[in-house]
Amino acid sequence: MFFNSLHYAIFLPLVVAFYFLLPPRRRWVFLLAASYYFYMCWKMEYIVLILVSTLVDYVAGLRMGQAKDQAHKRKYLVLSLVSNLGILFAFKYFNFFNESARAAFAHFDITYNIPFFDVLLPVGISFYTFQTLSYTIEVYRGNQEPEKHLGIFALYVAFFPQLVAGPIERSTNLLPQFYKEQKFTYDNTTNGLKLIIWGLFKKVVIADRIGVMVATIFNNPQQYSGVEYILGASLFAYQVYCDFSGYSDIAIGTAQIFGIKLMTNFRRPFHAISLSELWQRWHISLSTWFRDYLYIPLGGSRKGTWRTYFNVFFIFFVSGLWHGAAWTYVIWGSVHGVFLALELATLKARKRFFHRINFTEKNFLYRAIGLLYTMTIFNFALLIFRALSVKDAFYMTRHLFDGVPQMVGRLLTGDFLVVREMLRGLGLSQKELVVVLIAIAVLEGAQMLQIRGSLRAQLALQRQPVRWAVYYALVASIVFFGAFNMSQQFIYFQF
Amino acid sequence: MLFAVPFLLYGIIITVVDPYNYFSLPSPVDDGLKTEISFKLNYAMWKMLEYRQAPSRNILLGDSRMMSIDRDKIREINGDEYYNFSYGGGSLKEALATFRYAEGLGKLENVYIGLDLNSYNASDNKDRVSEVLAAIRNPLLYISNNNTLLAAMRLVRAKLADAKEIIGKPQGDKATFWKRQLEVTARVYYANYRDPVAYRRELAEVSDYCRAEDINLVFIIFPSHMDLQDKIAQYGLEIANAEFKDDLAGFGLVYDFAWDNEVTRDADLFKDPYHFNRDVEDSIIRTVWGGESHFVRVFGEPTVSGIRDRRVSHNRYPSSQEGR
Repeated sequence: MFFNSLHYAIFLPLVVAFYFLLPPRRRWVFLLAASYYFYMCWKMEYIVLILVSTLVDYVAGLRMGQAKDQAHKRKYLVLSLVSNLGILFAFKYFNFFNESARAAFAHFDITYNIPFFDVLLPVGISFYTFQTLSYTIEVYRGNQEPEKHLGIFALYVAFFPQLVAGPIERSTNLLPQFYKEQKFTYDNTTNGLKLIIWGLFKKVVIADRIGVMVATIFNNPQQYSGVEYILGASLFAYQVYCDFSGYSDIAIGTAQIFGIKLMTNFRRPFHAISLSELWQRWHISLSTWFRDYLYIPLGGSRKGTWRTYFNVFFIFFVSGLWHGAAWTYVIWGSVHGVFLALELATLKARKRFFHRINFTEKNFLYRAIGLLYTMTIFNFALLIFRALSVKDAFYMTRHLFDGVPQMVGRLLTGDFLVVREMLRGLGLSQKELVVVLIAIAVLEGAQMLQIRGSLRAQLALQRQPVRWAVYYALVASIVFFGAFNMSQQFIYFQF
Repeated sequence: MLFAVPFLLYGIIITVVDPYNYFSLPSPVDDGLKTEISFKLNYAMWKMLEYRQAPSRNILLGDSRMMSIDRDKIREINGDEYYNFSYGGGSLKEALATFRYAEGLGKLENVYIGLDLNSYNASDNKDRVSEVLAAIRNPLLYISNNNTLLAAMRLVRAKLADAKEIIGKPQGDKATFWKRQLEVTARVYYANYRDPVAYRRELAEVSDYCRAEDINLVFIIFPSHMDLQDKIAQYGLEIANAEFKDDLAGFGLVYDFAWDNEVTRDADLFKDPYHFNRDVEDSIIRTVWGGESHFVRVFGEPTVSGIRDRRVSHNRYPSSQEGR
């Protein structure tokens, strides 16, 4: 069941209505049933995996609570880690490592007979696995009391708005909210709906439309040149941002209707002036998860300079692997790891130098250069991320600047028809392209306003006709310009 | 709920006006006006919805040139009813999607596809058909489609103002438009020509399907003026053009009118470098459906075993070895 489907448009109001009609003590049952139904709409059998994760971590949490010492606690933590990561490995990574091993053995002419498993990747497995692991780790650390109520714990694991693509919630934030008696309020409902509408706008007006052009380029890279690769990577940045943040908005907005507050997952990442800043603004729930459960346990920045660089690189290497069982994702993560380590390594020197010449963040040019640098590296890494294979990624990288000087030359002579020629073959009509450009302009405008503070709060200060005009414009753009016939699966579902 | 009122009202208006006769309910707007407005705003939407009311065994697919082929003239020649399923500016992607749609609504006997190097081009992947297909499957998508909105607005305006609606841009005088077609349109198509790997594969699948189902699949390469045909050489696409015709020959019977002859040299027989006039249209119809031979080269392998055309000179494109 996709958030941008008719099925969800019928499912959500029914669930909300029944939820608030039920007595508060029974609500968790209904919400849990609705969450399982939501998940089973993809593939019924995979509910078993969520049930196994839920039971293992519920028991592990209780046992850790009863354990006399850290050693006993550790046993149950290991049980949780092994079973959750084991399931993740089996369904997501086994075939990948198997194929890589086969290729390596074949290179040395050695026979390799381990078979592949023909399994479909369970939707959201990376997300809910990390969510349950955060619970058991926090119980182990003593920051979280073991949850005694199996039903509430099951709801924490399977809460449908954030089950399949996050935000990856911390138990300390989410669990207590299921115990509060939530009331149906006008504010929660309208604020939640506004966020859902905004998320849908990003997804169906921008992301799905751009996805057509991106797919055209990346599915046949040999038919295009560097100009299209650069355009494709830049468009893909917008596609993945609008797709993923759109999904997060819908998830957060949906939860808000129930009175549940989920964490912010994106904070204007394209306004970052360094990669380290970008990762504080992009997929925040995942980057903080890696920080708290991998980076810090590895020593963080406390074990010396080179160990710090290694830790940073390793986190992003693993992050690449988390995103998908393919070497393109690993390379993508590694590129980020390398540049982040470089940023760290040069941070003090850069600060000293720029301070000496009075060239700081307050300076517009400083921020513009920072923005350009960040988006260049981010988009380049995305080129690799989006490529269908490592071979394609290397091909596009090698030919990244093919045709660029010629294009620039023609533009400088005023030959703008060359742009129309290029865009023509990318799968969207002129009208569609205009819709995309206007929608992106609206998005960027909204993000500029967000610098001043919450968009909702700023809108609330406006008169009603202005507010309603904005809402109508958004809904109308979804209704009339939603690319429902070009619908792409939410990108992060495949992770 | 108050917020939703305008959208509900809109939905009701669209259902009542029904610019493309989706719901087939009595409408205050007559079909004549819809043909003038809705049809011209979105050929695909109109034709696909019209076709599902009365599928045909014979269809014509392609762009504006195939659209100019008068099916009444075909009926006069051989008595067969054809549905002209082509669209102005139609791409091969749209033609193939339309073929699959038509085939899904009933067994086809004769399928004629008009195409040339413009459309046998990976860069030409325009697709207005998939949104129509989505709308056909889901009335909400029909109601919310922006073509439906535009058509409804113009129908209501025309009905209320009792004024004629002009659809489409005026072309200016023939010489200006002729120059623009050569300098802009041709360039946009040819400068970005890409080998149509996917189209080749899809046409091969369609051809195999037609052979298996006994469907007569025929290709027509319509005549274009030599000013336009010379652009093929200018953009270094002679080999691509030869390969295109050779590919077609393997997929079905081909009527090739696009070569250097007295017709394609005569600007008076063309409205613009792409579009021939009525006299040429008559000749094409009498040639393709009437068995006559007017400035045509016929080659390729029919997909139906019973069909033999005495005018077939080769099973492959005769000049396919030139320039290689």
